[in-house]
Amino acid sequence: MELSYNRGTILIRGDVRIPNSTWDERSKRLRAMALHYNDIVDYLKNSKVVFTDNVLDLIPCPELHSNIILRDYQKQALDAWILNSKRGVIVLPTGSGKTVIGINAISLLNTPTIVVVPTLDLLDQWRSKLKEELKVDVGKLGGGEQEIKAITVSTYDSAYIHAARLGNKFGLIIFDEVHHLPAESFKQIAEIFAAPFRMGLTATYERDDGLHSELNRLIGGKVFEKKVKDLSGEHLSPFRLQKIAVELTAEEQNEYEHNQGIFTDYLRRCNITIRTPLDFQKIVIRSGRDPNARKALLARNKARDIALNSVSKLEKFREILKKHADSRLFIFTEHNKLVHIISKEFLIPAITYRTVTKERGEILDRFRSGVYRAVVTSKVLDEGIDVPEADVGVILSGTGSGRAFIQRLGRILRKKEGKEAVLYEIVSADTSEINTAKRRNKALR
Amino acid sequence: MLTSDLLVTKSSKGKIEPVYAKLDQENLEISGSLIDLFHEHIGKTYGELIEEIEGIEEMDYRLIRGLTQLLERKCVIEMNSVLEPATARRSVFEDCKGAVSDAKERKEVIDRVARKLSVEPDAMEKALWADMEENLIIKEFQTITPEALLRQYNLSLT
Repeated sequence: MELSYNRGTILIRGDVRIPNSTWDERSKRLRAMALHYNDIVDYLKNSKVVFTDNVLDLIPCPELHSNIILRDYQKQALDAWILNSKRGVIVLPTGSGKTVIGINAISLLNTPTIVVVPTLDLLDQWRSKLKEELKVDVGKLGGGEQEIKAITVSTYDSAYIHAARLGNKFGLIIFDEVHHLPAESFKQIAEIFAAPFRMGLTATYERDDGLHSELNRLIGGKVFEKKVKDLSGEHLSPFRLQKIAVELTAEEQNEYEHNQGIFTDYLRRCNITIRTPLDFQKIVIRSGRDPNARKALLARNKARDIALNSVSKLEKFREILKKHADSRLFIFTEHNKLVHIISKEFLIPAITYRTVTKERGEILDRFRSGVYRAVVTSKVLDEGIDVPEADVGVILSGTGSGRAFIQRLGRILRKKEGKEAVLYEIVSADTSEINTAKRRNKALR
Repeated sequence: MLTSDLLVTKSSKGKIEPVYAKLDQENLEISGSLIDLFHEHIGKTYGELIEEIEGIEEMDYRLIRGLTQLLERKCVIEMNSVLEPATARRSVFEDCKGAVSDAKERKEVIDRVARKLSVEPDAMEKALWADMEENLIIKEFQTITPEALLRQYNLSLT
């Protein structure tokens, strides 16, 4: 009986029936997804079958040590993960130190580890943190580089491409922002890697499409969770959420109703109800063929723009800006147009998806060091960029997706002595934006 | 080649085929007026051009956007600014510490930085966002006949 690793699968030589394996006619062997490596070994041991295990071919690894002292909830999270055979997902809010838990797990297992992250910014952050804490060279896979070391940080894209080649080189695999993993292509990373120990980290376990149920199979399900409200006050600074509904001007209101009317009329005529973003997407697809769908869509966009860019909203924002003259403000809005309007009108440094990395880095550095006291931004900071502390947050619009909201909220929740953070949410009264705000708040509970 | 969202196709008996634009009077007119629009906007901003095109694209938006894509490739587009926009922004944000709360304060900041960099306040204002796509200037446009444009369009559908 012999087990070996072959391009993403476990090859089984021998004549024992093994769960999760299938007969491969070409190689005349049993094969199983590398994902099941751990189960297969367990099964063979329990069945008292004698076997040689040639699956893992680990990269030689220096002694790993870290001196990080974990906060109590971080310790609890790590213990829960260890109890679950060192597999599973830890759910903690942004800013609560998920990286630290990952690093502790690495030093504890003292085994070669690959950390998989969604963005290049996160890749750099993990690498510098790992270097600092473990005092070892850290490999990099992604952004055009392929440097494989005992501790390596990779993007999801690169891990996917190189999975078959690297799948048996690591004992532990850590997925940061693990809610990305259940995507059709990315989930193959978890299937192709044989690493018996697996950790997922995220602030938001649930996916809108329900695919998070896949994580049970891929990593081992949720083992620990704390929400923002469980931690705020104690470890994150307390914050106050203040919702402000502003009225559109009479002219805006008319214009809004007119356009929104065109859209709802169309929905009624075609018997469509919109419950999820997917329903909406269907109309977008229809608009390619049906001129009326297109008209309805354009009208809706127009209505949304009116509600979004309402003069009264900007005035409200001006008040907040004046009231918090000594504060550090972080302003979120999902719409690049509005980012630009705010940047132009209030001379606030802006970061959008178009901002080049150099300028973005400079703006964040200067915000951190206090040269700038405000930054306005759209989606790009949703994930992973280490955002400097702020004590006032302002949301001017949003998609209503719970995940995006929590992660943005997390940005201003960094603990600072004797400070109460405020998060303002400015929405237009009597428009569909109120629903968006409601949907968002649900995710907080 | 056009981006895939602009391809017009029909499928019959499991085959997908492009739908070519006819060289009829109506299409020739659409093609011609787009070419005119591009001509008229030499020296103006890309944003102004796109706004005008969006105004007429209701007629047949895939055709019009497709033709626009082809015409854009015949343009030389450049940035119009006396200052490097990123530098201009940095100076302004530095001066106001990253926020002003009213128009008066805003004007003072712009004027002060303009003086420091020895440019007119107007030029300063323009320079701040000159690198945004909609503020780029169409410098040259290499013309084409309406018929040739439609032929090129049909070719790029294939």
